[in-house]
Amino acid sequence: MSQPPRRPALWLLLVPAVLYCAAPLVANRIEPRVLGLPFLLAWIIAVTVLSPLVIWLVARFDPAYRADAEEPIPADDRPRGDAR
Amino acid sequence: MSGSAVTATTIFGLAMVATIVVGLLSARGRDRGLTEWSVSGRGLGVVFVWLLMAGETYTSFSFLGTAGWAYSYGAPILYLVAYLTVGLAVAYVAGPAIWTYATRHNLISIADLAEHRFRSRPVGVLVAVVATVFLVPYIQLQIQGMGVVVNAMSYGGVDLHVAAVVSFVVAEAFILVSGLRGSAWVSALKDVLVVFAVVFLAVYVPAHYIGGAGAFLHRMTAERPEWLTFPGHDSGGRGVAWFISTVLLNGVTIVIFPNTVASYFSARSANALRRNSVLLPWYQLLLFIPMMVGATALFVVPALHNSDLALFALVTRSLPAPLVAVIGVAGALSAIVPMSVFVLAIGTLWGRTLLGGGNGADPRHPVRSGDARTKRLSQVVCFLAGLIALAGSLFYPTALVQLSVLSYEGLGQLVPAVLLALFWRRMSAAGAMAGLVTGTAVVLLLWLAGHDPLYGVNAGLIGLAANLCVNLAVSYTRPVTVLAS
Repeated sequence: MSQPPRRPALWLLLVPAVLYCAAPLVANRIEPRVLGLPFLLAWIIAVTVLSPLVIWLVARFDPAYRADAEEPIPADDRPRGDAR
Repeated sequence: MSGSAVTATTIFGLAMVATIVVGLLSARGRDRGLTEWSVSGRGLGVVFVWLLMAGETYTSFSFLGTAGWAYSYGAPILYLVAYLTVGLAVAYVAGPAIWTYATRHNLISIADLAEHRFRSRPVGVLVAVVATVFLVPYIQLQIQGMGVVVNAMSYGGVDLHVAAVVSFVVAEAFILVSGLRGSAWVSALKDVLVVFAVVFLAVYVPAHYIGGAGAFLHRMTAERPEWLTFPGHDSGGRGVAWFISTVLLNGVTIVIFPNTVASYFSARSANALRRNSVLLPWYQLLLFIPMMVGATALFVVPALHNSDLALFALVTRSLPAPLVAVIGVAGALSAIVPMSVFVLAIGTLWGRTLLGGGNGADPRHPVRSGDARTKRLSQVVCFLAGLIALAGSLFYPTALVQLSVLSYEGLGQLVPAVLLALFWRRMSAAGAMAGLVTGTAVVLLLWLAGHDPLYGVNAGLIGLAANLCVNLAVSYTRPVTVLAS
């Protein structure tokens, strides 16, 4: 069986979680304000806008997306044509 | 009833009739089989999958709880947007994985999936039971949310209980006949109204009450700075640790919520789901608006006794009745759409795995339950689950809702058995069950003992850690035999 293609871009999917979880640690303040928004809120909104762009990048570099392939399931021992 | 109440109630009534009609029409020309009813024949493209999942994101909590949390706590409500977006990043892999496995083996629920993966009906049964216990309170929450919305939008003209019964009748009417496709169609109607209502509120509320968004932000920072950073105002320990642990737990849990999984199953291809992970995060931006409206209410109605009414208090205070009604209908549909998918999901959990005799993957129960029978049983349970939630909301309005606080923490315990099991070959049925029981027990005990959150950490995440440790230990000491064959 051929090895499924490697998908290193999937690591980027951690970016939203890291940035959101960083919010209360590094952005938990009101100043400086961004376009009048308190800094914490501006951070969260920025991450919310950035996240779909990151996921879009993941898709762009993901061979499974480009081939509209199924997801490889390591624990599926009867992969094909078995209704049971 | 006042003139405004009559107008709003009439519009609401018409909207409910329209909802049923749209829901019923969606089934026209479709076959009547189990796969069509439970997972729309696995034929939905990007647009309908998006509508379904957006429909489930924007629940009645968005109109009530989101504004309410912003009003009473402030910053902690940001967890909502954070975990929904994190969940979509997780779903980029989890969605297609669950979809692939279920499509290959023609599965219709997470219990069905677990039963097949472990070749063990007991695992499926346990998953179905745990999922039901934590989902029914969530349905009740939607029914009661609908009651509050309709009561507020009709200026008190429609009784809470009447509204609850209406939500039950409408949701069951189209879900029993049309199944998941009905929810997707009604969701289209709902999303139009929600986008309209929310964008309107974003412009109108700060302008009308405070003199514009700039003035609003100025007053927030000058007069209510406590609301703008963690842990917020009087939020009962919802600080840094709570935020991080809740975002992580909810972010992985939402991808295995039985209703989310129902939407995955309905997709036509893996890419319909991957695209959805790219598109749906934009929709979360709409959630900032009820937050802003809730915060505005701090300046307009500073002494609300029920903070959940923060948004509707502002709406009914200044807008003409027809506009109030439209916003109210958007809020009502935000209860009905998720509710319909929840009851459908519970129906499919029971219809095959618990009552139908399983999917035949377990060598000890080799007969697969017939599709016609499975569908009939699923419909019966779908109806009963709604009825139980309705009874709960009419007779025990607080009891079950308390449990709904635990929904994410409890359902989170299913992540190893339903999702990780697809990637981790060595996980055994015994390991999955031992982990699930341990994790659920930890969550319930911490909650009953009043230790949720524990040192600021979400009890669900602690339960999940215990769950995984036990699962690992059991899976490695009693290795699998089935997968090795």
